[in-house]
Amino acid sequence: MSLVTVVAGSRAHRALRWGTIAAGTAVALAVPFNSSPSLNGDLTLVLCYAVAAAGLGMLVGYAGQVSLGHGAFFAVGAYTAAALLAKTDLHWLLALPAAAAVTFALGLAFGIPALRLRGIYLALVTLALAVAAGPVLKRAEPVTGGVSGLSVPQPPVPGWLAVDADQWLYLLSLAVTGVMLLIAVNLTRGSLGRSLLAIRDGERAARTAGIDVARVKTLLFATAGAYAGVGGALFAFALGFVAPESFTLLLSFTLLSAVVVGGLGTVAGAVLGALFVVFVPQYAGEVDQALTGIIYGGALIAVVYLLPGGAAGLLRRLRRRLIDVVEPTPQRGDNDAVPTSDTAPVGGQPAAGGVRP
Amino acid sequence: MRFGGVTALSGVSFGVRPGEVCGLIGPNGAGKTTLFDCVSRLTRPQEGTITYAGQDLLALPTHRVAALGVARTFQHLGLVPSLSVRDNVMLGAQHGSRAGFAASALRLPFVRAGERALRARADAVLERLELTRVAARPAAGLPYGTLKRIELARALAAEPTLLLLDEPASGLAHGEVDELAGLIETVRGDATVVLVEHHMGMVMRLSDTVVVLDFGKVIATGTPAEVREDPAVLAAYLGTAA
Repeated sequence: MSLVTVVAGSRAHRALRWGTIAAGTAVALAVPFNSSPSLNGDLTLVLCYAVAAAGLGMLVGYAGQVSLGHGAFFAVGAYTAAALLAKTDLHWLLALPAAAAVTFALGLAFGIPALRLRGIYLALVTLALAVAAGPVLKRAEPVTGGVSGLSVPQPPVPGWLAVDADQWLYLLSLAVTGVMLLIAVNLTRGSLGRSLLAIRDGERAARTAGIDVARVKTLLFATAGAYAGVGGALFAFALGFVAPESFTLLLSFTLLSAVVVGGLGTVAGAVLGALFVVFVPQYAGEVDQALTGIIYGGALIAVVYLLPGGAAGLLRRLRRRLIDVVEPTPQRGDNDAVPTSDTAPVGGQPAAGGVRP
Repeated sequence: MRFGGVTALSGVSFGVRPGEVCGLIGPNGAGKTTLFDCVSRLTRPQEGTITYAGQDLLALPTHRVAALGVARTFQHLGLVPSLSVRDNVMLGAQHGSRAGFAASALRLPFVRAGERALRARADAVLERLELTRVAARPAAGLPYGTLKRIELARALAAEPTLLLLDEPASGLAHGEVDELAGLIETVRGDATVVLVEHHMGMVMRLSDTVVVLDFGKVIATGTPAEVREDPAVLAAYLGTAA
């Protein structure tokens, strides 16, 4: 049924994987030079949300913890970067780790009590965080500029790079997003990735396997916070301005819908989900200004119903149509009661090591 | 090793000598699984002590127990359905992993090396239990007998010095039970085994010592032959089971 069959881990398989990554990178690098400044601005926004959604995706998709307060971390990251750049002479590059550190610390402080909670209770407590963020930003005027917000000096285009400001902001965000996604991929594979899934799907097994569940949950919560913080800092760079109305309660839900639409338990899904939450409302607005919410909501429902596993799941199924990845044939010890590879998971079933719930 | 005064159990006290196979039997509800949960620290007894290799288990957080060499299987399976069979087995083996958040994020060389070593260890256990063919499959959806074997593989991959087996033979076909017994024979010597099992033939064949629980109390301890003749056991256990 597939056009090509490759053996997992073989040279061809690796070449395919690296080829896909290289092609994706090439496209991402070429886009800003073939589009308009306003589209570049939107794509930069997509990258900001993608970073935040990648962090939230680890929390929701891998460890099964739902946070409705991720917008608050995004806001704190944006304001940390904004305040540092507006009020000190700090180099803009250092604003990124600073935003990550502040939101990581906030995530730790919040995660330690929150880890006693699960499911709907954690969701509610994080919701409180999101609700509180707006009023706090408005009140803390000396730092945040209150209702009128803060102007942020944007990272200047380096002299050695002959690109426009919008292209530079996009490329800068792309580089940061690339690093953050790579880290997310690393965190969700290997021992730690297994630990996260075990915590989600089999906490007893996790605990008897020697996993310090409380510690992993707390650190993951803080890490997800730091991702939102970095996304927020990029957002401040991109807009050159932060104000409370950019960080309403809706932002938290936007990030969560980006995770779900993109596909739970995949890192690449964060980018696809971010594309959705930025562009679908825009196009909906072009169709009919009054119906934006309805069209967006309808699209959201359609994706959830029609695409189990989100956009990333769809891509995976399409890929499987073209390329079939099979396990290397075992040499020995294969007299088993289980039917052979013809029944390998297809369609909606998770692939080996797959992580869709 | 000594258990003593456990909650759903009361005044239970017995020791298991290193390297022996100890059969733990008793009617349903006798407290066998609760006792395992106490040893693997999934529940905390209100009083009493549990000592293993000179270490007070009740003074340890749950996640430290695995590092002492204690591994267990669950009667109703403790597998992670979304992970592949191999990953489930690797999960059992990874308790010594030093791959924390920072090291994993950067995928440092020792993280990669650790992952390769874990994989080799898991693959060896998978081959030993004839699970190589299903290694890459998700654990969800495999036949029950295979899942039981994966459960055992997960515990064995930890290279335990104390192996707690909670009804490993339940749901297995006749031939599979014999295979399982043979396998436990091969583990003997590397690990101390505590075996909770209703399959009497297997318990009597494998055990050096048999401890009989009923209503949370030890009603008999001894060699399989002694226990089989014990009038209290015949009345309480075999009487109700047969």
